[in-house]
Amino acid sequence: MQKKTQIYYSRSYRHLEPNSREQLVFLLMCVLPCLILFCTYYSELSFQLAVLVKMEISNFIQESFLGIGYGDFLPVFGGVYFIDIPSKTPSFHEVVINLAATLLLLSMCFFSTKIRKGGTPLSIYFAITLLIHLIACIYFMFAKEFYPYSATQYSELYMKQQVSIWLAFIVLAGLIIGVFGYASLTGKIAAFLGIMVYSFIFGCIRYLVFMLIISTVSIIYMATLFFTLGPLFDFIYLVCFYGIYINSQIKRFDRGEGRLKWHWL
Amino acid sequence: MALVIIGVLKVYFVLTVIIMLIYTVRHIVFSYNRIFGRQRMYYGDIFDNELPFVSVLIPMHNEEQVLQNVLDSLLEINYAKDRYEIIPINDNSSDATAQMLDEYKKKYSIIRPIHRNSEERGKPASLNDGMQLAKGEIIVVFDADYRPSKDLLRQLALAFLDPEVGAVMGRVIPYNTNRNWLTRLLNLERSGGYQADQQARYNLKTIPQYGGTVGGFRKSIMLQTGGFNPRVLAEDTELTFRLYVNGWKVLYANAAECYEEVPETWEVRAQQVRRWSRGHNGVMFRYFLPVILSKQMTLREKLDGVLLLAVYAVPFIFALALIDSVALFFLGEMSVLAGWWVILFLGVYNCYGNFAPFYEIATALLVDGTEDEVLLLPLITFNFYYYLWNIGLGFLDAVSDLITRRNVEWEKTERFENNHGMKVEQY
Repeated sequence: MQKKTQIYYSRSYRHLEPNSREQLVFLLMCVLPCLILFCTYYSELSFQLAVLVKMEISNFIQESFLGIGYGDFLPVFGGVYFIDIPSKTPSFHEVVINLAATLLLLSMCFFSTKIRKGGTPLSIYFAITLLIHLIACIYFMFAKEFYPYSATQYSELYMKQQVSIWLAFIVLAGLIIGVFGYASLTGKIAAFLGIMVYSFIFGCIRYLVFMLIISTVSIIYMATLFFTLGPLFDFIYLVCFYGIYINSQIKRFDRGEGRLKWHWL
Repeated sequence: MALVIIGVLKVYFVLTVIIMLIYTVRHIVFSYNRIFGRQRMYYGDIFDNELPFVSVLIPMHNEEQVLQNVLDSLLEINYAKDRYEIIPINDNSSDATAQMLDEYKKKYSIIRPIHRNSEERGKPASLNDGMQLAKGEIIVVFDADYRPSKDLLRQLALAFLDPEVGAVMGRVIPYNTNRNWLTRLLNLERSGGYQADQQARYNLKTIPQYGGTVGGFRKSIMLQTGGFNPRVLAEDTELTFRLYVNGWKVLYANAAECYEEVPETWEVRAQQVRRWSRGHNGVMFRYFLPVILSKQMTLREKLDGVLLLAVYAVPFIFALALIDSVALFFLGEMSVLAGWWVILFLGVYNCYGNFAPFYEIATALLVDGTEDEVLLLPLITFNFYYYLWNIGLGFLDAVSDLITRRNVEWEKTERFENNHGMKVEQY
């Protein structure tokens, strides 16, 4: 009978030992306090953001037309502030141009999808964006008076969505980094805070840009901005940061002392 | 009436989010288990002189560009030459496949091709014919564009020394990853799907899926249960559930590697996933109730079985939810709660690379030690819309098949000529 002289272990079964204590410390001492702080102060944050956006928009619109509104949000924690802005309703001429351009671009998307059966990720994403915009154009063409949102109502909706994104991100980023992050505690904290700071800055700038578009260009772009340029991009940068973070961990665990961390059984 | 419609839209919205959350929890459990859990070892430590006789079946339809890769690899395999046979099944080919196979037959007695000219085309019908000719009880199937590693046959065959095992699945690794962005992204998806997802399912004793290639099964089980159904596009998924419902197990052999050519164009990939979706959903319609009612399956297997069966229906459910949320927006019903859920379901389902979330793919790349490829993860975000569309169409195809009872027509995945000379170095 042949004997095995060597037991062959491959990367197929290697794994790490979880540092449950560190994971718990990170979640309880970093993520949870951030969550509590955010829930306590999001009203104030939204107020400061609304004031900042009002200041910037007053460069384009007379300040007397601008205001700060308040709307209910989460029951115990309070409502959100948002900027009160005038609606820039599209003229018939603008609606027609938008409709024509959307139909042209849509037919290009569908034509390219037919040529390349099944489409490509970007062409399908653009097609969905254009379809949503098409619905908005039809709405403004035939039922302008029934459009459900004024610019101020949209501002409130968007502020609530933005606050929700920040809330969701604290939980998501915290869980993903806390559970599937393999760095030291300081590394995890740095990654988590980096994501949240970027998310906050990105969200503020996006709110400003969107309100500027709605109030100075046209409210016809509301739906497009809400659905296709909203949370999707938040998740792209979350995954970007996570990818960079994980790449550093992959290198760490494959070189030097990091290799000793692997368990082979 | 309007209130009823809005109510239905909101309920559907919330239900979709619940479904997304269930799948998220499932994938978090899988990812955690893979990176931190004790791994369930395969039978790699068994060293036995009496390995079973294996019949290797390779269905082929117009495979002149690639067939020599799989045959040459199989001729070099580390398995006793008197303990296996190779049966390429030429299924109504119109190119030089038949002539090339006959050349191989002349040179190597171990290769015994079948030439089919039947009206009933396709992989299941080919495999049924192959099984009739096969001498071995253990059948191992490869697609024609695959390149098995030297140790693969032994690794797969070992599992069948366990009498509970009905089928075994190896790991599929793309070899044309550096062709373009698509092949690199597909490599990420494969890593997540096999190194993390399949291995976790194996660890947790749920349902590792037999993938139809790079895998083996017991011939007697198939013959006793009527053979492969030619009306089923996803014969691999059907086999998996047929085995579990009847009390057999499927194993996953993570170290049993085989190399495949992934699609290099979006068009080919679209056809491929649409076909997978159509086939998989067809199996879902057939096996949903049998899985729930099976007395042979554990609760854990049933739970995961139901989720696995529904996995190709989820993009369609999600697409409807997207339409639903647009409708709610234009009806002025996008309240704060609905807004919150939009983010949540976008968040939990976003970055799904064909059902491997980004953290699952990252887990796999960490285990494999693959540097730098993880930086491509953000690109998978847009793949999500692509899969939504093509997998959704596949679901509609399956529904149409169910309603009209039409016969499915087999289309094989296009091969790429510039890979047929590519060498795969094995160490």
